[in-house]
Amino acid sequence: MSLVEFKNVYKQYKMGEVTINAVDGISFNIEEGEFAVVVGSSGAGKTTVLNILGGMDSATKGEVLVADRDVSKLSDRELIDYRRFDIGFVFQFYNLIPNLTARENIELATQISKNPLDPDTALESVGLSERVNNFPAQLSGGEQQRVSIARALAKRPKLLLCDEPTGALDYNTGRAILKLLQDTCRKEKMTVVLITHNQAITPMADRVIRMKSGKVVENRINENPMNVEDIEW
Amino acid sequence: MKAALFKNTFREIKNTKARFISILMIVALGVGFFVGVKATSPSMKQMAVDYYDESNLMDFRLVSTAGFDEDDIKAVKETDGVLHVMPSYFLDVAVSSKDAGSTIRLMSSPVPYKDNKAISQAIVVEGRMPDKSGEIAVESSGFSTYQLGDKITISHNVGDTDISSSLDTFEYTVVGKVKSPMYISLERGTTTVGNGKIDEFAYISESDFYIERYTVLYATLDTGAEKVSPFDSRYDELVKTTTENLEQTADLRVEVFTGENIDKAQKEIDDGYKELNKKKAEVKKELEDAETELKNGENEYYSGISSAQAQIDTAQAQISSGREELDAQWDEYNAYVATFEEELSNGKAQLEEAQAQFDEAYAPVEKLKSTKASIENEVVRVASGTINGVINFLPKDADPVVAQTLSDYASSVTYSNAESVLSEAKAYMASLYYGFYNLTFDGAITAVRILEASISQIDKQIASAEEQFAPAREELENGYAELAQKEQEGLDNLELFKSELEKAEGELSSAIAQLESSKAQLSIAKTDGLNEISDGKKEIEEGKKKADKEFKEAEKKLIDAQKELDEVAEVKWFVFDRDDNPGYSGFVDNTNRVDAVASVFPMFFLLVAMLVCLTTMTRLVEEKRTEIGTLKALGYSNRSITFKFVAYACLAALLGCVLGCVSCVPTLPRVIYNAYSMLYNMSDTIDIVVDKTSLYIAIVAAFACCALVTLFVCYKSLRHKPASLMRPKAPKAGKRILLERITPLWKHFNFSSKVTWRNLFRYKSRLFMTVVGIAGCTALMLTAFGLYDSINDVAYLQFDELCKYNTIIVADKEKKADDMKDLTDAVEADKRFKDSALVSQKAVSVSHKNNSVTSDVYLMVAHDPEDLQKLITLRTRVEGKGLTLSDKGVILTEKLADKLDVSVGDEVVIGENGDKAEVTGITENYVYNYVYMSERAYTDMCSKKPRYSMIYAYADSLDSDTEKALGTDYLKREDTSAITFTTTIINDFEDMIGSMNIVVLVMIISAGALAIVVLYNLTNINLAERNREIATIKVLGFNYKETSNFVYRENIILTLFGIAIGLVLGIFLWSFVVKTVEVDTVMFGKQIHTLSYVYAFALTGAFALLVNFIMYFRIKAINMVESLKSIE
Repeated sequence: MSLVEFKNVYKQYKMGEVTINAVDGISFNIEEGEFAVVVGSSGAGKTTVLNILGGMDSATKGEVLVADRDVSKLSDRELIDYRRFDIGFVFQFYNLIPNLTARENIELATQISKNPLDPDTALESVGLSERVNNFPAQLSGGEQQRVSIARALAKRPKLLLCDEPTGALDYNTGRAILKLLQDTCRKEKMTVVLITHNQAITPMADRVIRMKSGKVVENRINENPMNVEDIEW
Repeated sequence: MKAALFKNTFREIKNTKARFISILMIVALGVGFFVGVKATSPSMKQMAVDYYDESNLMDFRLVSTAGFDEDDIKAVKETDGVLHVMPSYFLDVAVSSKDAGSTIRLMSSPVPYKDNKAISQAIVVEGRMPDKSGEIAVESSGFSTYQLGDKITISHNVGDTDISSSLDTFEYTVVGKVKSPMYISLERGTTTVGNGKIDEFAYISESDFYIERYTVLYATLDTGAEKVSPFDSRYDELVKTTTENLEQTADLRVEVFTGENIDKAQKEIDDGYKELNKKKAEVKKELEDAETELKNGENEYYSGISSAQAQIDTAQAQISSGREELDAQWDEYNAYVATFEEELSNGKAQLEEAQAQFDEAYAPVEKLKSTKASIENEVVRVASGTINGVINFLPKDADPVVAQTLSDYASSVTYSNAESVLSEAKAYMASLYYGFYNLTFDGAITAVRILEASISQIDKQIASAEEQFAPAREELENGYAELAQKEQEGLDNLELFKSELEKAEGELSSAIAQLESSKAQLSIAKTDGLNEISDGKKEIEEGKKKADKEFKEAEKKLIDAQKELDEVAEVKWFVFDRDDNPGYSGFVDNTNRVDAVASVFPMFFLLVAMLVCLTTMTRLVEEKRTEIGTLKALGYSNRSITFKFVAYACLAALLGCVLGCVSCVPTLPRVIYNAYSMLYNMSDTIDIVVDKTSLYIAIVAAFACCALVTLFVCYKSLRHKPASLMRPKAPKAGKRILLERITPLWKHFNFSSKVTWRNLFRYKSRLFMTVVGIAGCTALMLTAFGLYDSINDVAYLQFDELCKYNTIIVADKEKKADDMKDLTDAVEADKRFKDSALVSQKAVSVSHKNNSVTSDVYLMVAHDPEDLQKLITLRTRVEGKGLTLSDKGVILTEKLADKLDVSVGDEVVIGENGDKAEVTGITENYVYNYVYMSERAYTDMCSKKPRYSMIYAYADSLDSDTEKALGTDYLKREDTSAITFTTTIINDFEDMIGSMNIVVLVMIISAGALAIVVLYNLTNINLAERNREIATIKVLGFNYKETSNFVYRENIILTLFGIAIGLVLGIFLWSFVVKTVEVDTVMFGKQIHTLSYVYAFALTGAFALLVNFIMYFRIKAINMVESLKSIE
C-alpha cells in the first residue's frame, strides 16, 4: 500500500471567466520510506501539489490519500491536526522565527507534537549541537536550513515535505542539505517529498515525478539511486 | 511630481484603508478634542462679553456711607474715564409672607439718568419690569419660588432695623421674572442684616423707595473708540486708573459734604448740651424748694399730734373720777335695797301668824260647808240614777229616741234643778207609757225633797257662824292691804334711784366711747401724717430720679448724635468694580479651569497620535521597500519618492483635522457650557469662538507629527542604495533579553512565555506605544470615573454621612438662648424629631492672621456642642478621627483651611471686628465653608453671648407627608418664620452636579475611542509585520487558538502593563482635574472608589478584548501559501 496516493487531482483557479488548472488531473503514488523528487519548471504546479499534500491548500477535485486518509476531504480543524502530527515542512527560505534560538525554534514544533524528538537530539542529528542557543540571524543560510530540517524532523512526521530547500543556498551548502535529507530518509526510514526545478538532483531520488503544465509527465522509480556525494551539477 | 506617483499614492490609500483611517481617526480625536475643549473658554468668554454688553453691565459701583445727591452724581459723571452714570437705590429686606424669613435685595428698576444710558439692565425672562408702585420683578433663577401674580409682603423690620420709613409700600405683586448681569452665578452676596446672606434679588420701581439720598451709584467705563473686552488686561488697566480717579472725586465730595452738613450738625449738638445744662440747674432748684416745704410740714405734724394727745389724757382722767363717784352711789343703792327687803319680810311674817290663828278658829264652818256639798252631790246622784234606771228598764221594742231623751235628762241634772228635771222626765214618760214609770219618778222626787230640807238646815248654821267671824276677817284683810301698799312704795323708791344711777352710767360710757374714738382718730392721723411725709419724700426722690434719667437720656441722645456725626463725619465712599459682583470673578476662573483641563487632556491624544503615525508609517515604508528601491533605480529623486509617503500621511492628517474640527468644535464647548450653565444664570446658548492659536497649534502638531515622522522613516530607507533596497530587509534579529540573564527565573518560564517575553522587547516602539495608548486610555477612564465619584460623593458624604440633620427650623428673629426656650422645648417634645440642636448661623468673612486671603463663610455657633455633634459629624477626613467642639477655639472645614492656608494651632481672624480664635481642628466637609465653635468659645471671643435663630433637627422617616405636617405645625407658631428640609437642598445640589456627569461621559467616550484606535492600529501592524511568522506556525500545525495566543499573549501583557501604569497615572490626572474644576464653595470627594478602578480596568480590558476578537478573524484568514510563497 502506498503511503501517498494522488487520484485524478485537480486544482483550479477561476480568473474571471477563465479557469486555470494549476494541477490538471494528476495521479501518482509514493511508497513509505521513499525519497521522492517532484521536478518541473516554474509554474508546472509542483508547489501546488506539495501544498495540497501538506494540508496547506486543498484540491478542487480528486482524492489525496495519505496513509489511507483522504486529505482533500478533511475539515479545517482536521487539516490542522494533520499538519501537526503527520507532516514536516522544509521551506526555501527556512521560515525560522527570528526571535527564537535554534533550539527554541525546534521547541516551537515539539511542544505541540505527540511523540517528539528531544530538540537537542534533533539538532545533533543535523550536526548543529554547538549552535543550539544561536538566533537565526547568527546562523548561515545552510545552518538555518538545517535548523529548519531539524524542526521538521523533531515532530516525527509521517511525511517530510521540502520546497526547494536548496534554492537559496550555494552549491556546496545545498549539497550538504540534500545529503542530510537523503541520510535522514535512509537512516530513519522517513518518507521525503522534495520539489525542485533542478533536474540534476533526480539521480539521488528513489522516485522521480516529473511535472509540466500541471500534469505528471513521468513517474518512475530509480532502481539505483545515487549518493548525493556522487552527483555533480 | 509625476502623475504616476499620484495614482500610486491614491492606490496605496485604497489598499491600506485600515491604516489610513487609523491615522485619520487618531488625528481627528486629538485635534478635535484639543481644539474643541480649547474653544470652550473663548466661547464662554465671548458669551459673557455679549451678555454684559447687551445689559450694559456697570463697571463701577459706588457706595457711600452718606448716600449720594445730584452734585455727587455730577462729579462722578465728570470724572475721567466715566462714560455713563446711573444713581439707584437698594435695600435689603425680609419677606413676611410666603418664604418668610428670606432676605431679598430690593433694587430700583434701572432707568436712564438724564442723558445717560441705563446701566446693569435686567433681562426680562417672563412678564415685564415693574413700572408703577407696588410692582416687583423677581429673579428667574431657582432661588425664587414666586410666580407672576404672586403677592409679596415685606416685613417692616429687618433684624433690629426698622425700615418702615424707607419704602412707600410693603405689598408687591410679581409682574416679571428677570435675570441680572450683576448676579451671574448662584451666589447672591452678603448683607449686614438678617442672617447675613442675601437669598434673592428683586426689582421694584424707583418711586417705591422712600430714601432721601441715592444709596448706590453705577458707572460705566469710557473705553474711548476702542472696544475693550473685560477679560483683557487693558480693561484691568483702565479700571485701575479710573478707580483711582473716582477715589479722588470721592475725597473731594466727602470734603464738601462734611462742610455742608457736619459742621451744622455739630453746632446743634453743642446747643443741645447748653440747653441740657440750663435745664439741669432749673430742675435742681425746684427739687430743693420741695424739700424745704416737706420739712415744714413734718414739723407741723409732730406738734399737732402732741396737743391732741394731751387732750385725750385730760378726758381719760375725768372719766376715771366719774367712775369712782358712780361706784359709791351704787353701793348706797344696794344698802337701801337690803333694808327694804328686811322690813317687808317682817311685816309678812306677822300677817301670816294672824291668818293662821283665824283659820284655826274658822275650821268647823269649813266642815259644815263640805257636808252641805256632799248632800248636794247625793241629790244629783239620786236624780240621775233614777233616770238611768228607767232607761235600763225600758221595753225592748221602745223607740231609741226615748232612751236618748232620757239620757239627756240624766246628764242635765244639777242640785238646783233636780226636782224639776225629774218631774219633766216623769211627764215625758207618762205621755208615752201611761204612767208606767210614775212611781219610780215619784220615789226619787221625794228623796230629793228630803235631802233639800237637810241642806237648808246646814245653811242656817253656816250663816250664824259667818256673822261671828266677820270682824276678825276684816282686820286680817286690812293688814294685808297695808303691807302691799308699803311694798309698792319701797319698790317705787328703789326704781327711781336705780334709774338715776343707770343714767349716770350711760353718760360715763359715752364719755369713754368718745375718748376711744378720739384715740383712734389720733392714731390714724398719726400714720396718715407719716405716710404723707414719706410720700412726699418719695415724690421728691422720684422726681430726682426721673430728672436724672431724663438728663441721661438727653445726654445719651446727644452722645449718640455726636457719635453718629463722628461716624458720618468720616463719610466714606467705596468704589467697587465688577470683581465685587458675586460670582463675576468665579466665572473667569471657571473658564480658565476649562482651559487648564483642555491643555492637559489633548496632550495624550497628540502623543498617541504621533506614536500611531510613527508605527504606521514605519510599517508602510518598510513594506514598500522594494518599491522605493525600484523607483530610486528608475531615477526618481528622493524628494519625489518621499513625497508619496508624506502626501499619504498629510492627507490622513488633513482629513483627520477636518473631521475632528467639524465633529468636536461645535459640540464640546456646548456640552461643557451646558454643564457649567447650571452654575450660571446667563445666556442659554453660546456661539462657538474658535481659539485660533490652539487651532493652529493642533493642525501644525498633527501635520508636523505625521509629516516629520514620515520624513524620518523615509530618510532611513532612502539612505540605502537601490540594490540593497530591492533585497528583502533582513527580519529583525532575535536578541537575548535581560530577563534571560537571570537564568533560574528564565528556566522556569515555559516556552510560550519565553517567546512572549522576547517578542515584547523585540519591538520597543510598539511596546512603548501600546503601553502609552492603553495607559492613556485607562488614565482617562479612571479620571472620568474618579471625577464621577468625587462629584457624587459630595452629595452622599455631605448629606448622608456628615450632615445628619434633615430639618432646619428658623426662628422669627435672632434671640438669646433663653428666649428660644419655647421653641426648643417644643421641638424636643416633638416625637417626630429624634435629635435637635440650637445654632446660630451667620455669614462672616474669615482670614488667616498674617495672610490677606479672606473667605466668606458661615459661622456656626452651637448652644450645646454635644447636640450639634449628633447632627453634624466633625472628623478629620484622612484618619476619620472624631473632633470635639471644646470651650476654646474653632473648627474649620477642610476646604476653608486649605484656602486660608491654616493648620491646627494657627490663629484666624473672624468677622469685621477682627476677633481672633485658635484653630483646634479641621473637619471633613464638602459643601460650603463653615467655622464651628461652641457658645462658650464665642462668648470668650466676642465678649457677648451669641444670638440664635435656627434649630437643626433630625426627623426619623421624613417623607413628603411628614414634611407637610411639620411645615404646617411649625409655621403656625408665632416664633417660627420658616422650616426647611434638606431634601430640597440635596435635590438642587444633585441637579447641579448631575450636569457634570456629561463631562464625565464625554471623557469616557473619548477614552474608549482612543483605546480602540490605538489597539486596533497596533494589532493590525503587529499582524502585518508577523504575517510570515504566523503563517509558519500555522503550517507547523498550531490550531487557531494557539496561533492567536502566540500573538495575543504579548498584547495581553502589554495591555495589563498599560492599565497598571494608567491606573497610577490616572490618580495624578484625576487629582489635577479635581483640583482644577473644583469651585470655591464645594470640595469634591477626595477618593476614587475601588469600583472605579475596576471599571477603568474592565472597560479598557474590554476594548482590548474587542480589538483582539476582531483580529482573531484576521489571523484565521492569513493564507499560509501566499504568506510563505516568497519574500517580495
